[in-house]
Amino acid sequence: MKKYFEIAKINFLNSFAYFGEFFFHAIFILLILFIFTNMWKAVYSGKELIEGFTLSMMIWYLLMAESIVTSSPGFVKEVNTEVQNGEIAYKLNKPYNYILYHFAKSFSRRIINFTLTFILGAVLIYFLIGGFDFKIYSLFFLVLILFLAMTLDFFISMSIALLSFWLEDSNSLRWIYDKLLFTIGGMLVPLEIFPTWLAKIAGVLPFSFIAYSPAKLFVRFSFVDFFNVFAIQISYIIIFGCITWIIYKRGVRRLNVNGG
Amino acid sequence: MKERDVIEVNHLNKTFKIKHKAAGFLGSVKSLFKPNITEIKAVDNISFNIKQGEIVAFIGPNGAGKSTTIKILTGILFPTSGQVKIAGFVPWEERTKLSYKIGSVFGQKPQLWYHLPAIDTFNLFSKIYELDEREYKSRLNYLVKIFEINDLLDIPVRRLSLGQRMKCEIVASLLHRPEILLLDEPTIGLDIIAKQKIRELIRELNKKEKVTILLTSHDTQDIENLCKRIIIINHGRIVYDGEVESLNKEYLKSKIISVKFENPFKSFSLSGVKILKSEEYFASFEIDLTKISVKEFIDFIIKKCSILDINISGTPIEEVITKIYQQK
Repeated sequence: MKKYFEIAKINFLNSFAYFGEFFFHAIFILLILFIFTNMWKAVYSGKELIEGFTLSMMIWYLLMAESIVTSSPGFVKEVNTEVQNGEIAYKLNKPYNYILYHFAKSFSRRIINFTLTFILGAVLIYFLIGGFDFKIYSLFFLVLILFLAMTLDFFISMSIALLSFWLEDSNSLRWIYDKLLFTIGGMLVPLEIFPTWLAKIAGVLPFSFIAYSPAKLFVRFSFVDFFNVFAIQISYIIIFGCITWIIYKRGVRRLNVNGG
Repeated sequence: MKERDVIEVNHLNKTFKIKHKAAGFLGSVKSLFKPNITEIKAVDNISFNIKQGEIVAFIGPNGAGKSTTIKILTGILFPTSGQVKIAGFVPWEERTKLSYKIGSVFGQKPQLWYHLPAIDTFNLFSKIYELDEREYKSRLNYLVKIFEINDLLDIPVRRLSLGQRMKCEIVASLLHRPEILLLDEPTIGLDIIAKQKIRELIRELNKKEKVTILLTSHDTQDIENLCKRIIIINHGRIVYDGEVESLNKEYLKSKIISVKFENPFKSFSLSGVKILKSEEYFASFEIDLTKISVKEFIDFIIKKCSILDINISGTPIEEVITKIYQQK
């Protein structure tokens, strides 16, 4: 376990070289937040609540969901390239597990991405519409849920990335997955805004446990919801962890095709 | 004491299935339902053993099956058939265990973290290879001294020169005291002085630590300077396995002779002699030693022309290798 922690640490340090990149990424998110804040203000004009959300809850929800989803580092592309040009071979000759290696590596980068986006966004929103009633005691539980959300996102992304063993390019699948997170994952709007039937479907799919559920717990925490989300996240992580592992094992056996 | 074999390869075969696709959209659709698969033998019944402490050049043209073999040796690829034992392990079954015994340097695939000082990567590797802290420190000190990289340790890798970087790459691959070192193009892109320095270090290391080295390189100087033994692979088969020296003898069937003349050179034809280049006062010839000896040629040319200078050189090993590559 220790070695993966060290991998995360070194990539964390290495990532600071890309600080400018992180910064511009965050600036771009701020722009989106600014536009959405104004849009929601117009939608809310005169209304106190929409589907149980106040205006400030809605905006803070958006910040959290956006920070989670957009913090994902581009490792799908990296894995895709590594598989396609056989470079994966050079990553495999060290005593570590390839998947956990990428998990550690991408997580450290994600933490920087997330933290920076969230802090800058929070400052902006605070000045635009002010704070909301955040339950300090929920912090610990939120961090846990965030960790699980990002882990689930990692395993889904990784299984997509590893499909490169069979597909020419898994980036297009990644693109679709991203858009699913934006929409039925609840990144842009909470599921409550959807028609009931769609909200029901989206609510059981794994995507909403990456964006919607953590963001909602952030603005409206309850222990019942927490345990619910926690249990389902764990289940999905186990499912997608296994899928990733199976794809990986079969893929490495197939590595053939790209050897030469 | 007799050295033991650290690499044993017996009747290794690897067949790839290649999907063929007819051109155009229709072809794509067709291949989706009824793929036209052919088999290609990338590695065809290869056997060789390497003893501890040997430095062996393992070369072949692109697509000869060289990297496939190396990938099988490191456990990344599964062979179709055959046995392989590396440091006592079957690579594809015990890849992780084996990785503690192997070090690798790939000239074109750096393993050092680009934006960080090399020491950070060294520290990381000490954790990845689960080295004992004290052991690691003394090992590091030792390597730093031999490779003279003390001043480079704290500089971000991106600011090092290519030669300095390669030194650090090699140190990184040696921290865990591997029994076998795979060097793939270790001098690629380096200037002559840096190349020589790297070669010197590799030689010294091999002598001191008895580490077995498998070297692949397109630089024949690397091979001539470092290796006693050379294995040449082509079309998936071993076409030569022997001493570098005898490779020269066996294949050196021609010489290149360059001559400077006093008077303008007039072309001539002589059995076994090919004019490679001719200018007004200069010409170079390739003479086929099976047809004409050096003495015969020189006697002939001295009679024919007035000579200012003459230079005789053997076919460079590069050409020997090219010849071998071209053989079917």
